[in-house]
Amino acid sequence: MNRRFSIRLVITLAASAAAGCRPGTTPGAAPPLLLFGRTGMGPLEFNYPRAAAINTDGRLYIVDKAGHIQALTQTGEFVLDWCMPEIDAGKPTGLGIAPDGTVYAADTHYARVMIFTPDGRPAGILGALGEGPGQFRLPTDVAIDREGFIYVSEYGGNDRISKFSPRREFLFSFGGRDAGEASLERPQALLIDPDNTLWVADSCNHRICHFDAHGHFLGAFGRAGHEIGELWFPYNLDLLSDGTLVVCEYGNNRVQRFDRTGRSLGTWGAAGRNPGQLAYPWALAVGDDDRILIVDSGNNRVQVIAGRAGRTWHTAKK
Amino acid sequence: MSCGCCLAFVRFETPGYLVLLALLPLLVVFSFRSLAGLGPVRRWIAIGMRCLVVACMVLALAGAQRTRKTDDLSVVFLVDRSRSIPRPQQLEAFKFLEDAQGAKREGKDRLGVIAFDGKAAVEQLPMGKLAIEQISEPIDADQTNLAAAMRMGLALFTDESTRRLVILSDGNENVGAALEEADQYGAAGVPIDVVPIRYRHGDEVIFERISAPPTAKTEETINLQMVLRSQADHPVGGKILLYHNDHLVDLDSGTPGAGYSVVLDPGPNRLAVPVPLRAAGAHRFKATFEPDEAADDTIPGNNEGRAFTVVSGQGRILILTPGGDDDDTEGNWESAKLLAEALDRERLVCDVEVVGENPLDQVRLLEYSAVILSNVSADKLTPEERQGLAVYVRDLGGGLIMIGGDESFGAGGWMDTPIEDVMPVSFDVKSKRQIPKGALVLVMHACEIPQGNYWGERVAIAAVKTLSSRDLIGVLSYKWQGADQKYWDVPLRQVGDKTQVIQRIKKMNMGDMPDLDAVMRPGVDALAQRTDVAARHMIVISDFDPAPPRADLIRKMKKYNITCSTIAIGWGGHPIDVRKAQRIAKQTGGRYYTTRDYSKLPQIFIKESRIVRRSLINENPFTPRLVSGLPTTVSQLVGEPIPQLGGYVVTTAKPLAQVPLVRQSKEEADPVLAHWQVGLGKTVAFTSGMWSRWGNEWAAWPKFGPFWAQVVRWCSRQPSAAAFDVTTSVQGGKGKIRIDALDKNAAAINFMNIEGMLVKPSYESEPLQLTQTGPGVYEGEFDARKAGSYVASFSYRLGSGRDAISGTLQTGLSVAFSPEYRELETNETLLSEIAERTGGRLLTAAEAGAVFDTATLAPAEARRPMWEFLVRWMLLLFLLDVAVRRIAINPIEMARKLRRFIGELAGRRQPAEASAAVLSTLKGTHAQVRDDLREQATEAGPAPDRSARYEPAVPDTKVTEQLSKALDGASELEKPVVARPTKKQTQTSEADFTSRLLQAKKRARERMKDEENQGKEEKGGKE
Repeated sequence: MNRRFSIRLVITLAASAAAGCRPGTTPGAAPPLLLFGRTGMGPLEFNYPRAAAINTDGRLYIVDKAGHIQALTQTGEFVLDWCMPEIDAGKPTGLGIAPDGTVYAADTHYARVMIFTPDGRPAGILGALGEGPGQFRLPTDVAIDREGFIYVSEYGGNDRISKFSPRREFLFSFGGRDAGEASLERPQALLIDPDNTLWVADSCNHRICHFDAHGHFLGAFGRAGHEIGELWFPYNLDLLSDGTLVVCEYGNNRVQRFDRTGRSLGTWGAAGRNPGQLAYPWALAVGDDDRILIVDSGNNRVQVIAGRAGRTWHTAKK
Repeated sequence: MSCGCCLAFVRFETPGYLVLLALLPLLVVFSFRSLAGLGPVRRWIAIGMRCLVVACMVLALAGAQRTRKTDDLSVVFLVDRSRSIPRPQQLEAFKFLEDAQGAKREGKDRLGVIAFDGKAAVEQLPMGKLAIEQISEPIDADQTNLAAAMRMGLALFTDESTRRLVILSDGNENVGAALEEADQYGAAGVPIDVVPIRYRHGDEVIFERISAPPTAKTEETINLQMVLRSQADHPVGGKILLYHNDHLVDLDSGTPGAGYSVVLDPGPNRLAVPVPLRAAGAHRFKATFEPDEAADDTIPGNNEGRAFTVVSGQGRILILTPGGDDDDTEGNWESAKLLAEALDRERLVCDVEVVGENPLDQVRLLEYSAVILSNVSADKLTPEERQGLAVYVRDLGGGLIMIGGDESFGAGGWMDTPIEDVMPVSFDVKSKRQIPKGALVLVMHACEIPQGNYWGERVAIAAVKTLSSRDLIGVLSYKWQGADQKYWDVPLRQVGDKTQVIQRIKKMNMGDMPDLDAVMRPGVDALAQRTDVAARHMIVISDFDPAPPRADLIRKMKKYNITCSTIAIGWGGHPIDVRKAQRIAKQTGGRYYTTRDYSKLPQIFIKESRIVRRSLINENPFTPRLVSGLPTTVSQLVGEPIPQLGGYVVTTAKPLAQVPLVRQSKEEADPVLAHWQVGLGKTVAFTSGMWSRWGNEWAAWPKFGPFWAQVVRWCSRQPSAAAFDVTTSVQGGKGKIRIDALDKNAAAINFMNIEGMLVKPSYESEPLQLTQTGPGVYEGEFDARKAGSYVASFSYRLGSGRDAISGTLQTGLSVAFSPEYRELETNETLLSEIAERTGGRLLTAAEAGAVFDTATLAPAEARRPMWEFLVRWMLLLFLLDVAVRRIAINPIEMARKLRRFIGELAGRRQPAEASAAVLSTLKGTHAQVRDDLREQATEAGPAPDRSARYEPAVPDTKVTEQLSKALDGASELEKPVVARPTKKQTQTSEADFTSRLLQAKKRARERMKDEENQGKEEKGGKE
C-alpha cells in the first residue's frame, strides 16, 4: 500500500463513517476500502461508466457512456485514455482483455467488437451487423481464454454467444432464445475461469449459466427476486481467488457472492448515493488481493471492497 | 461600495459605524471603576481586552476590507454572432480571440467570452486560457442586442483585477441601447476596446417594403406599393413574383410566366401594382424579387415583402375535416362536403380542407368569418394552432363551431386545451352517473435520447391532460430504486383533477431499461385486475433495445383485451429495434409509430390515449329536444319534428352557455347544441355529427341547410360598421397603427373608447392601447422586431342608445424579414462612440495582442472583506476578557510550579525516600500547627465583642516557614501564598451571627413569656 493509497483509505473510511451516521445507509454494509472517480469528461472522471476489465499487469480499463476508455491503476491513478472512433449510434457496454493485453470493446450499437492495443491504438474490428454466423446485433461483452479463443455475447434477438479462433475466425455460436435450458435472454457479461468454463450473466433470465469450451450447457443458478440468494438483472461477474463468484446486480443495486453451486455467501451494497451504496452498477472486476472494483455507474465512481473479508458480506443471519 | 472611505490598506464599506469608536474612552472609565477589585495589572489587561472586543465589533460593522493594488487583468470579449455578419467574418472574430490569447500573461491575465445576437450567453467565464474551440450556435440570430451583452459583461468581472471589455461586432444593433450601457462602463472606469467586424455588401437589392391599405371594401381595387432599393452602381434586371393568398398572380399577361420583369436603377425604386379584391376577409400578399444575375444580389434573405388587407363583410367559412391516409373514420370528408353544400345553398361560401394540409396562421384565419371543426381530433392541430384558434375567437372576434363525432370533444383529446376554454361546453363529465371509464398505462423508457426525461414527462402529461377525470392512469418506468414499487411512477389510479398525477410524473426519473417484460408486467397485472373499465390500453415508448415481453405476458394481454401501442424512438445514429416494436403492437392489436422528431411525440400520445376516451361516446339513437326560452339560432326548428340522431359525445354545458337542443334522459339533459359569446367572438358546440353514421335523417331533412346557415351566421364575425381610415407602418422595430375616425358628415369622432388585442407572430396576444393624438386620430405602437404577421383587432364604442357608434375592426401589418438582413455595412460610428465614451480604443484584427496591454490601465484595488477575521478575534478576545477577570494567576506560584515541573522532567531525582521525608515533615508540621492553635485558643481569653468587625487573621510566620520547609525550597522571600480562608471564615462568622441572632430572638421571646406569666400571676393575685 503506498502513501497515497493510505491517505485515500483514511479519507474513504472517514467519509464512510460520516455516511454511516446518516439515514439511508445500508444496515450492516461494510464501507468501501476505496472510492474514486467523479462526474466529468476528464482524467479520472466518468460519464456513466458501464464496463471494466483488469489486465495481467493489474491495469484497470473502464469505458463510459461518452465512449471514453481510461486506463487506471487499481488505486485510482490515471494512466492513459482514448476515445472510441464512433459514438453517434451508441457506446460500448463490455470490455475484455486478452492475455497479451489486447483490449476488446463490445461496441454494442455498432454491432461489432473494436480491438485496441493496451495503449489504445486501434488494432482491428470483429463482426458486423446481422444474424448470420459471426455477425452481431447488439454485442454486450467479450472474453478471451488462455489460448486466445474469443467469446462474444450479444442480445437484441440473437441473444447468443459466438466463439472465434485466435485468428478471429468464426467457429460456432450457442445459446439463443429457443435453446431450452440453455436459452439466453440478454447475456450481458462473460467470464472464463481457470478450468476454461465460461460463465454467463444471463441478465433477463436473472440467472448465471455456465458452459464448457464447446458451448455445452453445464448448469445454471439463481432465480428472479430481491432477497439474498436471488438475482435481479445480473450484469457482470468475476471470480475471487478462492473460486467463489461475485455477481453485480444492476436491478438490485448490489454485489452478491456465490459459491460454485450457487449458494449465496452474502451481498454488499444497496441503492443509494452514499459510500457503500450503489446506483445502477453495471460492472465489476476483481483486482489484487481479491479487492473487488465495482463500477457504480449511476454515481460515476468506482468503489473498492475487500472480496474475501467476511465482514464485507451481509448475510441473512447478520 | 462606492461610498466607502479608506486608509492606506483598509477600506470601509459603511464608515459611519466608526463613530462608535468614540465609546472606547467611556468604556475605559466605566471599566476602571467596575473592575476595581482585580488589582492593577489584571484590571488594565481586562480593560484592554474589552476595548479590543468593541473595536473589532465596530470595524466589522463598518465593513472593513483589506485592499491590495494589483495589475492582474480580466478581459471579457463580446462576440457578435447575429445574422448580419457573414460567416467568414464570424470565423475571423474567433481567430482574434485565439491571437489575443498569445499575448496573455500567465497567471495574471484571464479572459472570458460572451457570444450575443438577440440574446447574450456566456461562452466562458473569465479564466486563464481560452477553453472553447468555437462560438456556439446562435440563439436568436435575427436580432442584435449589444446592450444586453454589455450588461452581462459587466456582471462577469470581479473586483480582484483590472477590467477591460472588448467588443467584436458590426455595431448594427436593433434591440437595446448600447450607448447607455457604455455610460455605465464609463462610470465604472472599465474601458471598452472595439474591433469592428467590417463588411460591405456592394451589389445588393433589398425589398424595402410592400404596402397595402390595411382595410378595404369588397370589390375594391387596391394599389400595392413596392419599394426596392438597389445598392449596385449599375441597373439590375430581375423579376417580381406576387402571391395573393398563396396563389401566384400573373402580373404581365403579355409574357409567358407569372413574373413581372423590372430593371432597378441604383437607389430606391417604386412600383405600383393594382389588385382587385373580390371577397371579404383577409387578403395576403407576398412579393419576391429574383435577380437575373445572381452576382447582383448577395443576401437572398431580404428579397421578400409581405402585406395584407382586411376586407370587411361576410367572409368565407372554413370547414376543417380529417382525411387522407391518417383518417381512421370513413365518411369524414363526405360529412364535411355535405355541410358545405348545404351552406352553399344558403349563400354562404365555404372552403373544405383536410386539417393539417395548410398551416393555420392568424392572417389566414382572418380570411374567414368562422371556422368549423368537423370531427377533428386535437392531435391533428399543433399546440400553436390550437392556441391560435382560441385567440382568433376571443381576441379577433372570429367564430368557431365544433361538430361532433368519434374524434371530437373529450373523445378527440380536446380536454384541457385552449379550445375547451372557449367552447360553451366542458369536455369532461363530472356527474355521478355511470359512464364506462377507460384505463391507460404508459411505459416510459428514455432510451438515451437527448433530454429524454423532459420528453418523457411532456408526452405523459399530454396524455393525462386529454383523459377524463374518471379514467384511470398508470405510469411505469425502469428506475434504479423501483424494484420494490414494481416500477410504478404513478400506480394505476383515477385521473381526478390531474394535478397530483402530473406532479408525480414530473418527479419521474427514467433509467436504462434492461427488459420490457419486467416493467410491462406490473402494468398488465393492474389492468387485468380492473373489471370496472371499458377499455384497457398500454402505450410503450422505447428504442426497443430492452428484452421483449415474454409469451405468457402477451397471452395475458390478449385475454384481457389489453391493447398495446408502441412508439419507437432513437437519436442520432442509434438503432431502433423496429421489428420488436411492430411485433408487440401487432400481437396486442395496438398501433406502431416511429419518429426521430420528438416534437411529434405529444401528438402521438394524445392520439393514442383516445382509445380509453371512447367511453365518452354514446351511440344510442335519440331525438333531440328543444328547450324553452329559445335563442335565434334554433328558430328554424320551432314547430318542426326534429329527426333522430344516431349518437353524440357526452359533454357538460358551462354555466353561462345557452343550450337550446338537448338529449333528455332520465338522469339529465346532455347538450346537443350549445353556444355562447366569448371575448370578441362566438363559439358553438354541436355534439352529434358524422352525418353518414349518426345523422342520415338529419342530412336528408329540408331544415338541415337553413338550420346550419342560421347557426353559422350567428357565429360569424360581424363586419365592421364604420368606414375608418386605417394606416399601419413599421419603423425602427416598432409597429404603428393609426385610425382616422370620421363620421358620415366627415366630422372627427372624438373620445371614442377603443380596446384592442394584438396577436404576434408567436400566436401570443397582448392588449394594444390606442391613444387619441388629434381630432379623430387614434394611434398606438407595439414592438415589431420579429418577422411575421401582427394582427390587431379593435372593438370601439362611443355614446349609448340609438346614436351609439360601436363595432370591431381588424387590421395589422407584416414584417417580411429579419432586420439583420437590412444591414449592408458596419456601423463604425456607434462602435467608435462606445470606445470614446469609455476611454477604450478602436482596434484592428491585427492588434489582438493589445487587449492584454496594461500600460494604459490604472492598477485595480483588490479588496478582501475582513469581517470574518474580526468576528473570530472578537470572540477570542471576549473569552480572554472573561478569563482575565475570573482566573487569578500568581506569577510567582506559576514560576515555582514550572520550576518544579522542569525539575521533575530533568532528573526524576526524587526517590521514594525523599517523598516519605516530605510526607513525614508535613505530618509533623500538621501536628505542630494543631498544638499551636490549641494553645492560642486557651490564651485567647473571652469571646470577642459581637458587634466587632471581622478582620482576617495575620498569618503565622512560624507556620508558614515550617510549611515552606516541608514543601522544599521556598525561601522567606519566595514564601508561598497560602490561600486565605476569607470566604470560609466569612461564612462561619455569618453563621455565628445568624445563630446569635436566633439565640437573642429566643431569649427575647422567653423574656416576653416570663413577663407575660408574671403579669398573669399578678392579675390572679389581685383577683
